[in-house]
Amino acid sequence: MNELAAPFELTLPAISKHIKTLERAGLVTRGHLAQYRPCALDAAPLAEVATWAEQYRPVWETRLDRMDDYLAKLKSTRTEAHDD
Amino acid sequence: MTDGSSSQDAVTIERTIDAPVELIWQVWTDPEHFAAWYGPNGATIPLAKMDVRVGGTRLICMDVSTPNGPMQMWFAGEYREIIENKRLVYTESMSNQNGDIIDPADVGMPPGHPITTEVRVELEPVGRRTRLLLTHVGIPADSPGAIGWAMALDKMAAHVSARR
Repeated sequence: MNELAAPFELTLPAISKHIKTLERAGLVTRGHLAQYRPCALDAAPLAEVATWAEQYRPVWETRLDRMDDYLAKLKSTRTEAHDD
Repeated sequence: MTDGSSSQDAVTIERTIDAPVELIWQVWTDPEHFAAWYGPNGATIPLAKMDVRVGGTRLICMDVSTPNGPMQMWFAGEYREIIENKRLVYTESMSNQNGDIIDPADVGMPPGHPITTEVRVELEPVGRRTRLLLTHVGIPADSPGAIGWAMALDKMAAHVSARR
């Protein structure tokens, strides 16, 4: 922890909090070595969000939302037409 | 041709939509319907040409507003599989207005973006609703599919110029 904190102008509790967040996200694993808790970085999950395909996910989500809205509009138009 | 590592180069979205399969098929394959919803918010589709048959081409024009003003983007592709109300597969590449493919890197897209991608739309009725499975996958530049696609485009270009 002291080694990880050394390059940053942050308090030890702040560093500890950041490491816990990374640990929860599965990006950091911590071991036990006497009184030390060595940290290991697993950046593989980060590569997933960096692929071109993952960048398209929000694009497709928006498109499908718009398709949904359009389908709803079509259906209401058709219903009105039937009511006439 | 398929290997385990390619799974990372795809985005898959599954949705259940409150509409019958026939209607969803229509909004994907009828240019007028397609143009009414496709594209990001604020974009319009002034032109959609869709020759919906296996080997048929598609050309989509998109007007997008950017912080630097309006921008026009073109996308060309070819239909690969058509099973009405069930499965639609087409390729997609950035292109110019003639449908000539443009390398995404040349227009400022991040590196690693494949020149040609494939869009698969799979529909399955669930009562009166529809389960839609969308897959957008990259085609490696040297794959037989990509080569076939380039050849098809060359043929199309020759065909068009022969008619002029």
